[in-house]
Amino acid sequence: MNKAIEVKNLKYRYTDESLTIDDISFSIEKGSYTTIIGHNGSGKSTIAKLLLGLLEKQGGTIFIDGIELNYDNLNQIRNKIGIVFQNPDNQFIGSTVRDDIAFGLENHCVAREKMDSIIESFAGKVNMTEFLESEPTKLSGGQKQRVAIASVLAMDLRIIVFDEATSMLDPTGKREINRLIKEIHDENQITVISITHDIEEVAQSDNVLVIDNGKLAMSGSPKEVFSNEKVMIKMKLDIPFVYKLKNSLRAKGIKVSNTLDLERMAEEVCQYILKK
Amino acid sequence: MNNITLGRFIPLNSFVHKLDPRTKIVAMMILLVAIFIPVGFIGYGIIGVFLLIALILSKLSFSFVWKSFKPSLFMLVFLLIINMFLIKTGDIWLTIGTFNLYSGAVIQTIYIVLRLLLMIVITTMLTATTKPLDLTMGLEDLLSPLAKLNVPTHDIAMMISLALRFIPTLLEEAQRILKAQASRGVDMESGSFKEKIQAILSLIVPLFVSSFQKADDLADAMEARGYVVGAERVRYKQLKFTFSDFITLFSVTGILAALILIKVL
Repeated sequence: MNKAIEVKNLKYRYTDESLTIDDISFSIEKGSYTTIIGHNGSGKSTIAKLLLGLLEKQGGTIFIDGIELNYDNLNQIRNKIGIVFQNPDNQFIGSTVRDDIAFGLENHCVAREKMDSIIESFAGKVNMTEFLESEPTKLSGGQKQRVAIASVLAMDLRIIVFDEATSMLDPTGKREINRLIKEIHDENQITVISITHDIEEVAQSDNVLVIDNGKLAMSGSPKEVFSNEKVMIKMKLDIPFVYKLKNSLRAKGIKVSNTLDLERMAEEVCQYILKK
Repeated sequence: MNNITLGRFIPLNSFVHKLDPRTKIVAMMILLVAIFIPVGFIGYGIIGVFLLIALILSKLSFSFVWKSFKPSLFMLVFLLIINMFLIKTGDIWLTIGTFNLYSGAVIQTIYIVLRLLLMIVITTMLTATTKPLDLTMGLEDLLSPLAKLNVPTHDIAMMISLALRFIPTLLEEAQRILKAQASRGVDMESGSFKEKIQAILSLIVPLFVSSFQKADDLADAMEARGYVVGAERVRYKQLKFTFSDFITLFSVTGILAALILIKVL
C-alpha cells in the first residue's frame, strides 16, 4: 500500500437534510501534502471528522494506512492519524503545556519513564520548552496551536489533519504555524492534510481537493486546479495572482509557459510583444 | 472574583505545599474528627498549637486565614444571641430585668467559635497549599478502592480536572460576552430587579451555548487523541509519599489518640 488514505463513495448527512458529504472518493499518497479547499459549509471539516472516526459514515469505505475504518478499530486508526482543530482553546486538555502533551501519551499507554523525554523533545521541536509549566490562559493562540501540534507529533502518527488550524490566529501566528507544518512534513515524511482558506498554502501543496456542496468538484495539482479559473470563481474561491494573470493572458491568446515566476512571465510577455 | 479567599490555591514553596495531597486530605479528616471529641479547652489548645505550627510551616499569612474566617463572623454573632436565650445551665453571670445570662451559654458559644475557627483553618490550609489538580489526583487515589465496586473513579477525576481546567477559559468567555452585550447597550448595573434579571440572561444564554460548543470540541479533541472512557491509561503524574508525609500523619494520629485518651481517662 502506498496510499495513506483511500476514500471510496463516502456519504454522510447530519440530520435528514440533504447529504453533507455526497459520494466522495479520493486517495492521498503517503508523505504528500494535500490541501482541501471549499466554501464555508461545503463539508470540508466533516470529511476531517469522518477520517478520524469522530463521526460515523453512512456509506462508503475509508482506508487509513491500509486499514479499513470500521469503528471497532478506532484505537488502531488513531495510532496512525491525528488532527489539529481550529479553536486553540477547545483542544487544550491538560492544565499545563506539559500535561497537555502527556494526555495523548497516557491514552496510548506509553511507559511513564519515557514520557518526560518525549514531552521535552517535542516541546523543543515546536519551540515551547520555556512554557512547559505554563497554563493555557497565559499563552497566545499561536502558542496554543504549537502545543496542539506537539501533542499530535508526540503520539508518533504518520498522518496529521489540520482543520483550519491557522484561521483563528493573527498574521504572525499564522505564518509561524504554516512554517511549522511545512517543516514537520519535510523532516518527518508525515502525510499532511490541511483544510485551509489560505491560497498561498494551497499553491505550495502537492495536491488539492476542491469540495463544493458535499461533492468533490475538482482535484489535482495546484497548477491544474488554478488553471480552471471559471470553476473556482463559480465556487467563490480565490486563486493566486500569478494564476489569474496567466489565465487572462492565455484567454487573450498570449501563450505563456507554465512558470509561476512573475519576472519570467513578464519577460515572456515582452518577447511576445517584440515578436508581433 | 479575586477577593474570594475560601478554597483558593496560594502558590508558595513550603513544607506543607510539598506534602503528598493524600497525606493532607487524610490529615484533614483526622483533625476534623479530633475537633469533635469533647474534651474542652485542652483539646482545642492541642489542635490549635499544632495548626499554628503548620500555618507557620506553610508560609501562609495570618491575614489570609483571617479573611477566610470573616464571612462566618455574622453567623457566630447570631449563634451567640440564640445561645444566650436558650441555654440555661451554669451560674447566672448577668441579670438585666427578667433576662439572665448563664455561664453555660457563653462557654458553649466559645466552644462553637473555636471549633469553627479550627475547621476553617484546617480546610483553608488544605486548599491553599494544594493545587486543585493534585487535590483531584489525591482524591482519586484515596477513592480507588471504590473502583472495585464499579464506581468510575477515573472518570470522575477526569471530569473534575477538566472542569477546573476550563474555569479560567469560561471566565474569559463571560468577560467577552459581557463586553459584547454592553456594547449593544445591555446595562448590568442599574435598572429594576426585572431588568437586571434580563441583563443577566443576556450573559447566561450565550455563555451556555458556547460552553456546549466547547464541550463538543473538547470531546472530539480527547477522542482524537485516543481517550476512551473507562479504558486503561498510564498516569503521567505520580504522587510521592515521603518521610515528611509520614511525620505529618504520625503527629496527626498522635493528636487524635491523645484526645481520645484524655476523654476516656
